[in-house]
Amino acid sequence: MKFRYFRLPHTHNDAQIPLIRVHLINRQTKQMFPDYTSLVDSGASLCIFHAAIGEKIGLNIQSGRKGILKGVTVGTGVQFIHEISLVCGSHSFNTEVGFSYDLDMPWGLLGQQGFFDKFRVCFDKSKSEFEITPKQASAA
Amino acid sequence: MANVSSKKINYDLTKVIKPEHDGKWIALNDDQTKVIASADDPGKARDEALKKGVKEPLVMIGMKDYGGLIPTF
Repeated sequence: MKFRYFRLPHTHNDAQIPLIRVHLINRQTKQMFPDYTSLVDSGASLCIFHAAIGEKIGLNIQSGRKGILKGVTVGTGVQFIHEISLVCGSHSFNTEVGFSYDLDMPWGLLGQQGFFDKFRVCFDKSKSEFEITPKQASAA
Repeated sequence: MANVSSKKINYDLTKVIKPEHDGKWIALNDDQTKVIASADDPGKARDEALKKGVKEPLVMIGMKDYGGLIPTF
């Protein structure tokens, strides 16, 4: 799956941002929040999403496993881990992700666990494109 | 999902997201040329866009200045 980088207001020079849309699904109730913008972020150890999105799929956010969140919050924040289904393009999988009321970013973050361990990602800034390939499919 | 192989979609949001969207959840129209709804809640922004006929509104938080998110040297 090939995607294009986004350009956003007041970013430095021609800074481009690797954003994709993902769908989040509650595994128990099947409630879905589609088309949520998320940053492909190899610096994030886990996928982190806004708690408001988790509430939209019916999760009791604070019932999740509690953890500390740093680097994308004002000060130190809290995240709550839940297992959900995540849909990227035509690929759907179950994974643990964090939800936080403290996430101080305009998007969700697709990090190492739950995204980079499932996809091979190739950035090609000169073409303003990046490609995401499911690892199972690429290995087949 | 909207990706490179899909219909023509605008990826340059520099003039699409405006200062008045700062801090709001916004929903873009299908070709990403316009903010079609904004609200304090992501579901409300999305629902409003759907009511206006958008099929797959992209949802994110608007900011008047995204520059601070990206380290510059």
